[in-house]
Amino acid sequence: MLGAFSVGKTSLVSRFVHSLFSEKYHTTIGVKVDKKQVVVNGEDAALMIWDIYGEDDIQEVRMNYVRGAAGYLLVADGTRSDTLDVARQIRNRVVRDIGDIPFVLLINKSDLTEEWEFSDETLEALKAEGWLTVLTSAKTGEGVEKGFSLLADAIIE
Amino acid sequence: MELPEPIGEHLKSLFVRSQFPAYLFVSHDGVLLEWGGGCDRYGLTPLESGVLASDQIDFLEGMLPLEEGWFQLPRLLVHDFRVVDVHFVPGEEGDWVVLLDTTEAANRETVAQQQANDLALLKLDHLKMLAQLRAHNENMRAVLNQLRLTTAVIAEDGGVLFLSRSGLDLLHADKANVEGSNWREVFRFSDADAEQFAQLLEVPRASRERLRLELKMATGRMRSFDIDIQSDPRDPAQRIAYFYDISDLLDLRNKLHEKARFQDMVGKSHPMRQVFQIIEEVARVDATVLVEGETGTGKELVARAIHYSSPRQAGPFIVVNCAGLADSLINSQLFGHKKGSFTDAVTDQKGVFEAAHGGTILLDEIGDIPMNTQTRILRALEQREIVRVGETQPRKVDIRILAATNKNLETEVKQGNFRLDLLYRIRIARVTLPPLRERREDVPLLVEAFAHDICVEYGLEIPHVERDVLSALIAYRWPGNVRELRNAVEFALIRCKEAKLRLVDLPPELTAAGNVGGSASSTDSDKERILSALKASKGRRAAAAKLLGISRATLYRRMKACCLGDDVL
Ligand SMILES: Nc1nc2c(ncn2[C@@H]2O[C@H](COP(=O)(O)OP(=O)(O)OP(=O)(O)O)[C@@H](O)[C@H]2O)c(=O)[nH]1
Ligand SMILES: [Mg+2]
Repeated sequence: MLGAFSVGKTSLVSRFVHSLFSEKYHTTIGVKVDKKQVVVNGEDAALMIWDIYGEDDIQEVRMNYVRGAAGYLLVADGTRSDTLDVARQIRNRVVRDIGDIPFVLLINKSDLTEEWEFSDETLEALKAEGWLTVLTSAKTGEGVEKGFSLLADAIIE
Repeated sequence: MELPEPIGEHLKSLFVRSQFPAYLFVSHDGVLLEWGGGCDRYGLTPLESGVLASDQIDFLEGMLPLEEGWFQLPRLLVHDFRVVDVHFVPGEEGDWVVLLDTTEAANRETVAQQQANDLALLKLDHLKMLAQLRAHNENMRAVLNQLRLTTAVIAEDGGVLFLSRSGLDLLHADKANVEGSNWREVFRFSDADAEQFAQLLEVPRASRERLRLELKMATGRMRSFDIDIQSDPRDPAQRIAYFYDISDLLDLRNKLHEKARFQDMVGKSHPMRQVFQIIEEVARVDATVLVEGETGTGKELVARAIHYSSPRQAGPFIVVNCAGLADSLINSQLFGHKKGSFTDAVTDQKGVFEAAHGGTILLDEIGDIPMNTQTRILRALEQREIVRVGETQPRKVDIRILAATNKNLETEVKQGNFRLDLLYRIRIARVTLPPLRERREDVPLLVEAFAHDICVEYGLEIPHVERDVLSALIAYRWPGNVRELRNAVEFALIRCKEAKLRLVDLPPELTAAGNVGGSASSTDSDKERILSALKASKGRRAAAAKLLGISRATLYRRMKACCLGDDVL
C-alpha cells in the first residue's frame, strides 16, 4: 500500500481484511503486515499486505519496504488532487529502483462526492496511459474487493 | 523432521550478546532453528523450531533468502502496538539471523508524526474553505476575521487596505496604524523575503506560487508562514494575501528529525548541545571516533547516532562489548578464523569485522582489549584489511570503527596496557559525554521522556511528578548516570499506586539522607550502595546491577574495588 499520508491505505486494508472502518485517523509509522486468503483463477492464494506509512513533504517512502513485493496498490485521495502527484512520484521511484512490477491505482474516499476533486478527464488520461484505476471507498466498501483482486490477477499473470 | 545444521555458533554468540532485544535464527531453507530475547514481548510466540519461520511470523513471508546480504527494515509494527527495527543478517552457509531492535524514539515519533499530519490536514481544509468562499463571493472580510488566519488586502500601490483581526493580534498592531501604511512597514520580512513577496504581488495569477517566508513578530521572534496570494474578486488590481502560520508544524518536524538523528538522547544543557553538534560533524566524515564517558552516560547511543546519520546508515551497525570477550577467543571473534586453526575451529568462520562490511562497528570498552588484538585492530585501521586467524592472505574490509571507553586511555598507555599508536589512531575525533551530575538541568527533561516511554511500555497512566521528587532527582549524584536515572524512574513508576509520584516511591538510595546533595562518593558509600542493592535483589548480580544502573561487568569491577568477594550474599 503506497501513497500520500491520510489517503486511506490503512482503512482500505482494514476494510478488505477485517471488514471494519473507523473515522478516526491513526497515522501509520513504518509498516504493518497483514494477511488475507483469496481465490485467484480458482486457486487459493495468500496475499501478504504491507501497509506502509504515507509520504509527506518531509519523508519519502523508503524503497526497502517495497523490495520483494510482487505488486502494489497506489492509493490517492479523491478529495485531494495533489495526492495523485505523490502517487506518480512514488511510482517513478519504484520503477527506477525496483522495476516495473504490477500495480493498480485506487482513488479512495469515493463516498465524499461533495469534495471530489478528480475530473473525468483526469481519469480518462490515466486509462489512456494504461493505468488500471478503481474508485474505492473504505467507508462503504465500494470497489475495495475489486481493487485488490485486480492486483492479484495482474500479479498472477 | 531432521534439523538442518545450526548456524555458526560463534556468530550466534556474538549477536546474543549484543544489544538487540530479540533474535531468530533461520536456516537457509527458511526453517526456524532457534529464538530468544524479547520474542514473547513482541507477541511473536508461541514459536516452534523445525517449522518454516514464515508460517509462524507473517512479516517473514517472502523475505528470505535475500540477495544482497544485510538488510534493514525499519519501524515494523508487530503485535499491534510495538514498533521494532528489523535487521536481516546473513549467517554462515546461507543461514540468517533476524534481529529485532526497539528504539524508544519510535514511540515519541508516533505522537509527533500524528500531530504533524493532523496539522497538515487542517491546513488543507482551511485553504479549501477559503477557495470555496471566494468562489461564492461571500463577504470575505467578515469571514476572514472569523478565521484564525492572518489575511491582508493590499492595494496596487502597496498600501494595506485591510488586515484581519488575527493578523493585528499577531503583529501587535493597531488597525488605525496599519490601514493605509505600505505593506513593507507592516510586515517585517527580511530584505530577501520582502523582494520575493513583492514579486508575488506583481506576477500574473497563473504563475504565482505559494511562498514560504519568515516574519518577525513584535516580540522579535521569527515565525514561518506559507503565503498564498490571490486577486481580489471585486477589484482585480487588489491582492488578498493569506498567511498560514506553519511555525508549530515546522517545530514538530524539526523535533521529529532530531529524534531520528540523535536516537534517544535527551538534553538541552550546554554540554549536551555541544555533544549533538560534534555528532553531526563527525557523522559526515568517515573518521574513527572515540566516545568517552562514565558508565551509563549513553556512549552506545552516541555511536548509534553517528552511524545512523552517516553515509553508512544503510549498512550494519554492530556493537562488540570487548570487556565481555574471552582473551583466547577475541581475535577469532573479531577477525574470523580458518577451520582447524585451533581446537574448536571446526569450520571457516567470518568475524565481526567482515560481518560489518559496509557499516560501522562499535568497540565498546576498548580499554579492555589485550595487546596482541590491539595490534591487529591497528592494522585493520591502517590497511583497511584483516587476516583471519590461521590464514595469511589479508581480506579487504570496508568498515568504520567507533570506540568507547570509560577508562582514561592515556593512563592505560602510561601503565603499558594500551598502545599509544592505537590511541592516536582511534582518537582522531572524540566525543566526551558529561556525567549526569554535570548537567543536572537535563534531569527534568530526562524524567519526562523516560516516564513517557515506560508508561507507554507498561500501559500506565503518566503520573504527576511532585516537586520534592524532582528536587531529590536533581540533587542526587547519579554515579550510574542516565542509565541509573532511567532505572530509578522505572522503579518509582512501578511502585507508584496513585496519580502522583511521591518521594516514597523512589529507590531508597535516593532518599537516604546521606546521599541527597552528597558530593564525591567514597568507596565506603559505594560499598553500602552495592550491598544494599545486592540485598534488595537477593544476591542476584544482574538484578543488583540493574538497580544500581550499571552493567554487570561494572558491578563486578566495583565489588572488587570495594573488596567485596564473589561470596558476598
Ligand atoms: N469518508 C471516507 N473516509 C475515509 C476513507 N478511507 C479513509 N478515510 C479516513 O481518512 C483518514 C485516513 O485514513 P488512513 O487509512 O489512516 O490513511 P493512511 O493512508 O493509512 O494514512 P497514513 O498511515 O498516515 O499514511 C481516516 O480518518 C479515515 O477514517 C473513505 O473511503 N471514505
Ligand atoms: Mg496508514
